[in-house]
Amino acid sequence: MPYASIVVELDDAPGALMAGNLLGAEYTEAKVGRRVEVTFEKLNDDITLPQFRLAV
Amino acid sequence: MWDNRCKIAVSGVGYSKVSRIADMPLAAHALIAVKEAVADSGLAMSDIDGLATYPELPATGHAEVDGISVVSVNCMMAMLKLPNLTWHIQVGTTNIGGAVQQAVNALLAGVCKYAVVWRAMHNPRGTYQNLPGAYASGATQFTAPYGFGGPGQGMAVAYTRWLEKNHQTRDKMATLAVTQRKHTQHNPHAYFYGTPLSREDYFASRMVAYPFCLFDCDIPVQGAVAIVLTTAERARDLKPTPAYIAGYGQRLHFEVAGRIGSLSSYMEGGSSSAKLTWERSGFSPKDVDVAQIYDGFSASVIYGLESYGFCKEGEALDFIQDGRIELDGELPLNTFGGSLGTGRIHGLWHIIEGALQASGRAGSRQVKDANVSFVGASAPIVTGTTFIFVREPY
Repeated sequence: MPYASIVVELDDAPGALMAGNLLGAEYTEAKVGRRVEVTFEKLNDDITLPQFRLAV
Repeated sequence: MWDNRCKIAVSGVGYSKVSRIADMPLAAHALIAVKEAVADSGLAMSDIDGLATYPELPATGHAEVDGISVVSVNCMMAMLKLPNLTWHIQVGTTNIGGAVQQAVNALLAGVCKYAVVWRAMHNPRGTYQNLPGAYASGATQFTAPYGFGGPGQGMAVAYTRWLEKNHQTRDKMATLAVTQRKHTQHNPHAYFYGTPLSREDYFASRMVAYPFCLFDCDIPVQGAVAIVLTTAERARDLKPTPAYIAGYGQRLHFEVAGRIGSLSSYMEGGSSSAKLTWERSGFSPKDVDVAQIYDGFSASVIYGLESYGFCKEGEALDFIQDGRIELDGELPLNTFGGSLGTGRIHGLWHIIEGALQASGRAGSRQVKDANVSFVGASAPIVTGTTFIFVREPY
């Protein structure tokens, strides 16, 4: 199943980049320049990943 | 211009038989390639007094075992037992192009007379980019959980950015893969010799990491290649026509988060290395008769063409169309088939082909009247080096 691996630049720290996935949208919605916001994906009791979804 | 322009030359070259399966220890591949390069020069092994390599296995999650997955200088010394050895080195900040440049420097310094450089590449069993276990550690903890498992995924991000920024689609890249495979049919040492590739094959192939399909990625192989370098005076007394090194450069920029490179970093890496090479050699992109540009992934060629100055930024996918990169085109490109044709041996095969084209020794793929031969060895961002070889040392 295709998924989007993305690199996100942070508003509050220009130049700082984070890797993530685009959640809650088709992978084809991952476009350069599109605004996203952080969301937290709990994988298990130990690990929660910062992730991204399209900004509202 | 560089004071040492055309004072060092490539003489002999050698190859092992590249195979998909590691059916012979890597040390044996390296030994075959080195012996062939020395014999091609018309030298005896006892003449060799310099050794250099870059012993890296780019696969992740596999053990580095000397002689099996890498072939170090120590390993080669133990095998050859050279009676007249005076100098050796392994490089780290650049790939194999850096080892070639160090050999050039050693020859210029007079600390050796005939240096051999080899690159041996292992194809491990199982998954090439192997991330064992359920937990990522170190730098990979910030990238691996999101699907950035190897360099392909990391490079796909920059390539996607390039496509979107320049309003292009991946379709035009088919020309690169198909043309290089056509060139491969003139290179009997290449893995894909005897296996043509059509545009239909390209478009029907599976996606590896969008926008890279299978044929945008070089195939992992087991194999080795080698070259002999010496001073211009000595090279003229040897069997092959020398390929004189008019200039070289290395990337002066580095920025990699995990293994994800940004598009701007690829461009800065490439342009910083090329600038040194143009200045030292006294040539410019318009003087170049034939070019070899590293193509571990097809997009590296695009970044190379633009950052080295062969075309403007954003225009490389159009530049490679309309026969321009054919053997009789305006800029014959990756005339030996590139890594996409030979299999993954990193940049030394690009350097070999650059030298062969300059010395008129490229056989049925020889570019007519080639004098100025450019090489961009390795992806510009991480380990990039650039070279100019010439036939006439003026």
